[in-house]
Amino acid sequence: MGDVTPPLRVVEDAGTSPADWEAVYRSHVAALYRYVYARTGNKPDAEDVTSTTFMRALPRLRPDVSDGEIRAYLRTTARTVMADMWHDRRGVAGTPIDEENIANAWAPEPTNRDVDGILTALPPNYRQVLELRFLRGYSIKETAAAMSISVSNAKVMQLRALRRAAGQSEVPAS
Amino acid sequence: MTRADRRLERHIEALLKDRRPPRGDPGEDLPAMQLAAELHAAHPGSAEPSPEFVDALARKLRQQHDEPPVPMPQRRRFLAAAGLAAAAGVGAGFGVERLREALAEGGGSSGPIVPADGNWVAVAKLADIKPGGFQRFSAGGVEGFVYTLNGQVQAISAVCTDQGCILMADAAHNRFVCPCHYATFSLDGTPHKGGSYSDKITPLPTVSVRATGEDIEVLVPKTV
Repeated sequence: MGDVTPPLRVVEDAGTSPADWEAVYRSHVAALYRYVYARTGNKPDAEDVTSTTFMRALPRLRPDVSDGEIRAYLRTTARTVMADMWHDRRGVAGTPIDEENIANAWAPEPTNRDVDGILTALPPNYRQVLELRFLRGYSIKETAAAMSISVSNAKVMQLRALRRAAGQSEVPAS
Repeated sequence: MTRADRRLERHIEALLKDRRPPRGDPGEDLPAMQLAAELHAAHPGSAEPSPEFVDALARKLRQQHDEPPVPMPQRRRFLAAAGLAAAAGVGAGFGVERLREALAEGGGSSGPIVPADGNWVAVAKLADIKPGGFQRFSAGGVEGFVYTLNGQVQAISAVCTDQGCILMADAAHNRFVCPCHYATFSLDGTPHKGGSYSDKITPLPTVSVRATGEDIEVLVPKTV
């Protein structure tokens, strides 16, 4: 643990009244959901992670902490919940559940990437296929038609474009 | 298309339909899958919680707040601050291999996990085990937690005995909580009855644990 980590003002049995925590919940739920959604990319997972995060974090929040501290604590808790979910689902080593890790709301976290910048840097056909698929929600057929290419070409192109945009150089062989 | 291609394609299809992606190891495509989630979130309106969800969760939280489900006899306060490590209590029960007996309470069939052909596997450092802290481990097919209980280091299965979901450690309330139906277990593995989960829920199996030098080891099945 870093020496400069400030003590976390989050305790159990914080004694918050229902009005307090409900206000905290209402003012943070949408932002936390968006944060989680940008990492899970789908509604069922985003709802599960958001629920679990609030169930765990709310009883431990004191009403007098700042909004920024609450947000940081919620995000750190959510990251731990997601790590556990991915560990379970993907066989990927996530962050182990570790109380200090959860509590260290000041842990650096990856900033949100600049999606526009990533798309702009791509070759035009790669950018177009990702915009049509992800930002406009076109199906593969609609995407192929809009780009005047075959469906199988569109399928392959979206994969190449996504890998390139994610900074992967080689196409995985396996 | 390669296997990896088909896997990534299925992943994208699931996200674009707002469904859970399929299980499995993402392999080298992890960055692409992470970016796919971010791109999908950039789709206008897709990343907003529904009002129904927000209200339903508020009700669930109110219920949790009104009925603290687990009466704990001895609650301790833990502040995540420096000085925690100095707290005493670690190491008291070490040096001897210790097979915990099956939990008498609960009437379930769970006992300690004793593999027919086992290995001691290091899963944590002794220095990392602190009062009030939990270390998750996966070893030899066993998912578990290592933590301290009454000054002794203890290892226990992290799999809920209701429907097999992976439990979360709720250090503030000295318990394990299941994310699926909110079943809760005290730190010795005793389930708390009542709730939307099965009444026949059994205690969590314990895992044999020992300290060798600086390592905490658990006894788990040999796997290839």
